[in-house]
Amino acid sequence: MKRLLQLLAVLILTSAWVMAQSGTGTGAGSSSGTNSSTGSMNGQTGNSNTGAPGTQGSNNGTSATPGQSTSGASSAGETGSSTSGNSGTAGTSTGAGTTTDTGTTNSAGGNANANGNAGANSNSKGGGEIALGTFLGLAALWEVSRRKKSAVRPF
Amino acid sequence: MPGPPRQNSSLLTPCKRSGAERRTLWIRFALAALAVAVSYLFRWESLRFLSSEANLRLDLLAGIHLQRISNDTVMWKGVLYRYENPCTFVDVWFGSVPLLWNLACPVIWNIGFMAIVAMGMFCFNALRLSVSDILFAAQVPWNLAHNVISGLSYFLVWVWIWTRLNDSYRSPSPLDAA
Repeated sequence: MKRLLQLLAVLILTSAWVMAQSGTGTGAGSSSGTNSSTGSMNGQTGNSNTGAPGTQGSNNGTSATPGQSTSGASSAGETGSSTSGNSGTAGTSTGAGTTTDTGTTNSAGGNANANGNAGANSNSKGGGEIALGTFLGLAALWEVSRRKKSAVRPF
Repeated sequence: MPGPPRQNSSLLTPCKRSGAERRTLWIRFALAALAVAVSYLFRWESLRFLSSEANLRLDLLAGIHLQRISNDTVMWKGVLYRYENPCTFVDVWFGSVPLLWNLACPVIWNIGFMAIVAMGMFCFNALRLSVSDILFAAQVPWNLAHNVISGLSYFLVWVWIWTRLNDSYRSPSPLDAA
Protein backbone atom coordinates (compact mmCIF):
# COMPACT_ATOMS: atom_id res chain seq x y z
CA MET A 1 0.00 0.00 0.00
CA LYS A 2 2.77 2.36 0.96
CA ARG A 3 4.63 1.64 -2.25
CA LEU A 4 1.49 2.24 -4.19
CA LEU A 5 1.09 5.60 -2.55
CA GLN A 6 4.66 6.45 -3.41
CA LEU A 7 4.11 5.44 -7.00
CA LEU A 8 0.98 7.57 -7.14
CA ALA A 9 2.89 10.50 -5.76
CA VAL A 10 5.48 10.10 -8.47
CA LEU A 11 2.76 9.95 -11.08
CA ILE A 12 1.12 13.10 -9.73
CA LEU A 13 4.39 14.94 -9.81
CA THR A 14 5.21 13.85 -13.30
CA SER A 15 1.76 14.62 -14.61
CA ALA A 16 1.97 18.09 -13.10
CA TRP A 17 5.26 18.48 -14.83
CA VAL A 18 3.81 17.40 -18.14
CA MET A 19 0.85 19.71 -17.74
CA ALA A 20 3.04 22.63 -16.90
CA GLN A 21 5.24 21.85 -19.83
CA SER A 22 2.37 21.74 -22.26
CA GLY A 23 1.15 24.99 -20.80
CA THR A 24 4.28 26.73 -21.89
CA GLY A 25 4.25 25.23 -25.32
CA THR A 26 3.74 28.14 -27.60
CA GLY A 27 2.80 26.30 -30.68
CA ALA A 28 0.42 27.26 -33.38
CA GLY A 29 -3.18 27.51 -32.48
CA SER A 30 -6.10 27.95 -34.78
CA SER A 31 -9.69 28.76 -34.26
CA SER A 32 -12.35 28.99 -36.77
CA GLY A 33 -15.94 29.82 -36.36
CA THR A 34 -18.97 31.13 -38.08
CA ASN A 35 -21.03 33.91 -36.73
CA SER A 36 -24.35 34.33 -38.29
CA SER A 37 -27.03 36.64 -37.18
CA THR A 38 -30.31 37.15 -38.76
CA GLY A 39 -32.24 40.07 -37.53
CA SER A 40 -35.42 41.80 -38.23
CA MET A 41 -35.20 44.50 -40.74
CA ASN A 42 -35.40 48.06 -39.88
CA GLY A 43 -36.82 49.48 -42.93
CA GLN A 44 -35.32 52.89 -42.69
CA THR A 45 -35.85 53.92 -46.19
CA GLY A 46 -34.06 56.78 -47.65
CA ASN A 47 -30.83 56.33 -45.86
CA SER A 48 -28.82 54.65 -48.40
CA ASN A 49 -25.32 53.66 -47.55
CA THR A 50 -23.61 52.70 -50.64
CA GLY A 51 -20.47 50.79 -50.60
CA ALA A 52 -20.16 50.61 -46.85
CA PRO A 53 -18.25 47.55 -45.99
CA GLY A 54 -19.65 45.09 -43.63
CA THR A 55 -18.63 45.63 -40.11
CA GLN A 56 -16.90 43.18 -37.98
CA GLY A 57 -18.82 40.42 -36.40
CA SER A 58 -18.80 39.92 -32.73
CA ASN A 59 -16.47 37.77 -30.80
CA ASN A 60 -17.33 34.55 -29.07
CA GLY A 61 -20.69 34.33 -30.64
CA THR A 62 -22.38 36.51 -28.14
CA SER A 63 -24.17 39.03 -30.19
CA ALA A 64 -23.79 40.18 -33.66
CA THR A 65 -23.37 43.81 -34.31
CA PRO A 66 -25.70 44.94 -36.96
CA GLY A 67 -24.47 44.69 -40.44
CA GLN A 68 -24.45 47.57 -42.80
CA SER A 69 -26.16 47.42 -46.05
CA THR A 70 -23.93 47.82 -49.00
CA SER A 71 -26.46 49.05 -51.39
CA GLY A 72 -29.96 50.08 -51.65
CA ALA A 73 -32.14 50.86 -48.74
CA SER A 74 -30.50 50.89 -45.43
CA SER A 75 -31.25 48.02 -43.28
CA ALA A 76 -29.60 46.69 -40.27
CA GLY A 77 -30.21 43.61 -38.33
CA GLU A 78 -30.79 45.34 -35.06
CA THR A 79 -31.92 42.37 -33.17
CA GLY A 80 -29.56 39.85 -34.50
CA SER A 81 -28.68 36.94 -32.38
CA SER A 82 -25.59 34.98 -32.86
CA THR A 83 -26.00 31.31 -33.23
CA SER A 84 -22.56 29.89 -33.07
CA GLY A 85 -18.99 30.53 -33.78
CA ASN A 86 -15.96 31.74 -32.04
CA SER A 87 -14.49 34.77 -33.52
CA GLY A 88 -15.42 36.28 -36.73
CA THR A 89 -13.06 38.95 -37.76
CA ALA A 90 -14.08 39.96 -41.19
CA GLY A 91 -17.67 40.81 -41.39
CA THR A 92 -19.60 40.99 -44.58
CA SER A 93 -23.03 42.34 -44.97
CA THR A 94 -25.31 40.68 -47.34
CA GLY A 95 -28.08 43.06 -47.83
CA ALA A 96 -31.28 43.09 -45.93
CA GLY A 97 -30.75 42.61 -42.31
CA THR A 98 -28.76 39.48 -42.53
CA THR A 99 -25.27 39.53 -41.37
CA THR A 100 -23.08 36.58 -41.82
CA ASP A 101 -19.63 36.64 -40.47
CA THR A 102 -17.30 33.92 -41.22
CA GLY A 103 -14.08 34.27 -39.43
CA THR A 104 -11.11 32.08 -39.38
CA THR A 105 -8.32 32.99 -37.12
CA ASN A 106 -5.08 31.23 -37.30
CA SER A 107 -2.57 32.30 -34.79
CA ALA A 108 0.85 30.95 -35.13
CA GLY A 109 2.44 31.06 -31.78
CA GLY A 110 6.04 31.11 -30.86
CA ASN A 111 8.81 29.04 -32.11
CA ALA A 112 8.77 25.95 -30.07
CA ASN A 113 6.05 23.61 -29.07
CA ALA A 114 5.98 21.34 -26.09
CA ASN A 115 7.98 18.75 -27.89
CA GLY A 116 10.59 21.24 -28.62
CA ASN A 117 10.24 21.23 -32.32
CA ALA A 118 9.68 24.55 -33.87
CA GLY A 119 9.61 24.37 -37.55
CA ALA A 120 12.17 22.45 -39.40
CA ASN A 121 15.40 23.58 -37.86
CA SER A 122 14.89 24.08 -34.20
CA ASN A 123 15.25 21.99 -31.10
CA SER A 124 14.21 22.73 -27.60
CA LYS A 125 16.62 22.19 -24.78
CA GLY A 126 13.74 20.96 -22.69
CA GLY A 127 13.02 17.35 -21.94
CA GLY A 128 9.86 16.09 -23.57
CA GLU A 129 8.08 12.78 -23.44
CA ILE A 130 11.23 10.73 -23.89
CA ALA A 131 12.78 12.37 -20.86
CA LEU A 132 9.63 11.70 -18.90
CA GLY A 133 9.56 8.09 -20.01
CA THR A 134 13.21 7.66 -19.09
CA PHE A 135 12.60 9.20 -15.70
CA LEU A 136 9.57 7.02 -15.00
CA GLY A 137 11.34 3.89 -16.18
CA LEU A 138 14.39 4.54 -14.05
CA ALA A 139 12.25 5.45 -11.06
CA ALA A 140 10.28 2.22 -11.42
CA LEU A 141 13.46 0.16 -11.72
CA TRP A 142 14.89 1.91 -8.69
CA GLU A 143 11.76 1.26 -6.69
CA VAL A 144 11.76 -2.42 -7.60
CA SER A 145 15.43 -2.66 -6.71
CA ARG A 146 14.86 -1.01 -3.36
CA ARG A 147 11.95 -3.28 -2.64
CA LYS A 148 14.02 -6.36 -3.38
CA LYS A 149 16.84 -5.14 -1.18
CA SER A 150 14.58 -4.30 1.71
CA ALA A 151 12.74 -7.60 1.58
CA VAL A 152 13.59 -10.01 4.39
CA ARG A 153 14.75 -13.24 2.88
CA PRO A 154 14.32 -16.44 4.89
CA PHE A 155 17.25 -18.80 5.23
CA MET B 1 31.01 -0.73 18.60
CA PRO B 2 29.81 1.44 15.75
CA GLY B 3 26.56 0.54 14.10
CA PRO B 4 26.14 -0.26 10.47
CA PRO B 5 26.41 2.57 7.98
CA ARG B 6 23.35 4.68 7.71
CA GLN B 7 22.80 4.14 4.03
CA ASN B 8 22.79 0.39 4.41
CA SER B 9 20.41 0.50 7.30
CA SER B 10 18.04 2.69 5.33
CA LEU B 11 18.09 0.21 2.50
CA LEU B 12 17.65 -2.87 4.62
CA THR B 13 15.08 -1.51 6.98
CA PRO B 14 11.69 -1.01 5.45
CA CYS B 15 10.53 2.51 5.99
CA LYS B 16 7.65 2.52 8.42
CA ARG B 17 5.94 5.84 8.64
CA SER B 18 3.32 6.86 11.06
CA GLY B 19 0.00 8.18 9.91
CA ALA B 20 1.05 11.74 10.59
CA GLU B 21 4.22 11.30 8.58
CA ARG B 22 2.29 9.84 5.72
CA ARG B 23 -0.10 12.76 5.74
CA THR B 24 2.81 15.16 5.80
CA LEU B 25 4.34 13.35 2.86
CA TRP B 26 1.14 13.66 0.86
CA ILE B 27 0.93 17.35 1.62
CA ARG B 28 4.52 17.72 0.51
CA PHE B 29 3.80 16.00 -2.80
CA ALA B 30 0.70 18.08 -3.39
CA LEU B 31 2.65 21.24 -2.68
CA ALA B 32 5.44 20.05 -4.94
CA ALA B 33 3.00 19.61 -7.82
CA LEU B 34 1.58 23.04 -7.12
CA ALA B 35 5.04 24.55 -6.95
CA VAL B 36 5.98 23.06 -10.31
CA ALA B 37 2.83 24.49 -11.84
CA VAL B 38 3.56 27.88 -10.31
CA SER B 39 7.05 27.84 -11.76
CA TYR B 40 5.57 27.66 -15.23
CA LEU B 41 3.59 30.82 -14.70
CA PHE B 42 6.75 32.79 -15.28
CA ARG B 43 9.09 32.93 -18.21
CA TRP B 44 12.39 33.10 -16.33
CA GLU B 45 14.06 35.10 -19.07
CA SER B 46 17.14 35.92 -17.03
CA LEU B 47 17.58 32.36 -15.91
CA ARG B 48 17.23 31.16 -19.47
CA PHE B 49 19.97 33.51 -20.50
CA LEU B 50 22.19 32.44 -17.62
CA SER B 51 21.61 28.76 -18.34
CA SER B 52 22.31 29.21 -22.02
CA GLU B 53 25.40 31.23 -21.25
CA ALA B 54 26.74 28.61 -18.86
CA ASN B 55 25.98 25.91 -21.40
CA LEU B 56 27.61 27.92 -24.14
CA ARG B 57 30.80 28.43 -22.17
CA LEU B 58 31.01 24.84 -21.03
CA ASP B 59 30.52 23.72 -24.61
CA LEU B 60 33.30 26.05 -25.66
CA LEU B 61 35.62 24.22 -23.29
CA ALA B 62 34.62 21.00 -25.01
CA GLY B 63 35.31 22.49 -28.41
CA ILE B 64 31.69 23.00 -29.39
CA HIS B 65 31.04 26.49 -30.65
CA LEU B 66 27.46 27.54 -30.14
CA GLN B 67 26.41 30.83 -31.65
CA ARG B 68 24.09 33.02 -29.63
CA ILE B 69 21.09 34.19 -31.61
CA SER B 70 18.97 35.76 -28.92
CA ASN B 71 18.51 35.82 -25.19
CA ASP B 72 17.44 32.19 -25.05
CA THR B 73 18.33 30.83 -28.45
CA VAL B 74 21.60 29.51 -29.77
CA MET B 75 22.55 28.03 -33.08
CA TRP B 76 24.81 25.13 -33.82
CA LYS B 77 25.49 23.87 -37.34
CA GLY B 78 22.52 25.72 -38.70
CA VAL B 79 20.06 24.37 -36.16
CA LEU B 80 18.39 26.59 -33.59
CA TYR B 81 18.23 25.50 -29.99
CA ARG B 82 15.86 27.26 -27.69
CA TYR B 83 16.14 27.25 -23.91
CA GLU B 84 12.79 26.90 -22.24
CA ASN B 85 11.75 26.60 -18.62
CA PRO B 86 12.65 22.90 -18.25
CA CYS B 87 16.09 23.69 -19.62
CA THR B 88 16.78 25.83 -16.61
CA PHE B 89 15.76 23.24 -14.00
CA VAL B 90 13.63 25.92 -12.40
CA ASP B 91 10.68 23.53 -12.31
CA VAL B 92 12.80 20.91 -10.58
CA TRP B 93 13.93 23.40 -7.97
CA PHE B 94 10.40 24.62 -7.33
CA GLY B 95 9.15 21.08 -6.97
CA SER B 96 11.97 20.20 -4.62
CA VAL B 97 11.26 23.02 -2.18
CA PRO B 98 8.27 21.36 -0.47
CA LEU B 99 10.07 18.03 -0.45
CA LEU B 100 13.33 19.32 0.97
CA TRP B 101 11.89 21.83 3.41
CA ASN B 102 12.87 20.66 6.87
CA LEU B 103 10.14 21.45 9.36
CA ALA B 104 12.47 20.82 12.27
CA CYS B 105 14.80 23.62 11.18
CA PRO B 106 14.34 27.38 11.26
CA VAL B 107 13.07 29.14 8.18
CA ILE B 108 16.35 30.93 7.64
CA TRP B 109 18.19 27.61 7.62
CA ASN B 110 15.79 26.26 5.00
CA ILE B 111 16.13 29.37 2.87
CA GLY B 112 19.89 29.10 2.98
CA PHE B 113 19.73 25.42 2.18
CA MET B 114 17.42 25.98 -0.77
CA ALA B 115 19.73 28.70 -2.05
CA ILE B 116 22.59 26.22 -2.00
CA VAL B 117 20.38 23.66 -3.72
CA ALA B 118 19.53 26.26 -6.38
CA MET B 119 23.19 26.87 -7.10
CA GLY B 120 23.90 23.16 -7.14
CA MET B 121 21.02 22.52 -9.53
CA PHE B 122 22.14 25.33 -11.79
CA CYS B 123 25.61 23.82 -12.09
CA PHE B 124 24.22 20.32 -12.50
CA ASN B 125 21.86 21.55 -15.19
CA ALA B 126 24.60 23.31 -17.12
CA LEU B 127 26.66 20.15 -16.91
CA ARG B 128 23.88 17.92 -18.21
CA LEU B 129 23.18 20.33 -21.09
CA SER B 130 26.81 20.26 -22.06
CA VAL B 131 27.05 16.50 -21.73
CA SER B 132 24.09 16.16 -24.04
CA ASP B 133 25.70 18.59 -26.48
CA ILE B 134 28.93 16.64 -26.44
CA LEU B 135 27.05 13.40 -27.08
CA PHE B 136 25.08 15.03 -29.86
CA ALA B 137 28.27 16.35 -31.40
CA ALA B 138 29.57 12.79 -31.32
CA GLN B 139 26.73 11.78 -33.68
CA VAL B 140 24.50 10.36 -30.96
CA PRO B 141 20.86 10.94 -31.95
CA TRP B 142 19.18 13.94 -30.33
CA ASN B 143 16.59 11.86 -28.52
CA LEU B 144 19.25 9.78 -26.87
CA ALA B 145 21.79 12.53 -26.37
CA HIS B 146 19.41 15.07 -24.96
CA ASN B 147 16.07 13.63 -23.95
CA VAL B 148 17.31 10.43 -22.35
CA ILE B 149 20.06 12.36 -20.59
CA SER B 150 17.41 14.77 -19.35
CA GLY B 151 15.35 11.90 -17.96
CA LEU B 152 18.44 10.48 -16.31
CA SER B 153 19.18 13.86 -14.76
CA TYR B 154 15.67 14.16 -13.39
CA PHE B 155 16.01 10.68 -11.96
CA LEU B 156 19.30 11.48 -10.22
CA VAL B 157 17.76 14.56 -8.66
CA TRP B 158 14.76 12.50 -7.60
CA VAL B 159 16.96 9.88 -5.94
CA TRP B 160 18.80 12.58 -4.05
CA ILE B 161 15.58 14.26 -2.93
CA TRP B 162 13.98 11.00 -1.89
CA THR B 163 17.02 9.87 0.05
CA ARG B 164 17.21 13.18 1.82
CA LEU B 165 13.50 13.13 2.56
CA ASN B 166 13.82 9.69 4.13
CA ASP B 167 16.79 10.85 6.15
CA SER B 168 14.87 13.82 7.41
CA TYR B 169 12.25 11.47 8.82
CA ARG B 170 14.89 9.45 10.63
CA SER B 171 16.83 12.37 12.04
CA PRO B 172 14.54 15.38 11.88
CA SER B 173 17.07 18.16 12.34
CA PRO B 174 20.53 18.30 10.79
CA LEU B 175 21.27 21.04 13.28
CA ASP B 176 21.14 18.48 16.10
CA ALA B 177 23.63 16.29 14.28
CA ALA B 178 25.93 19.27 13.85
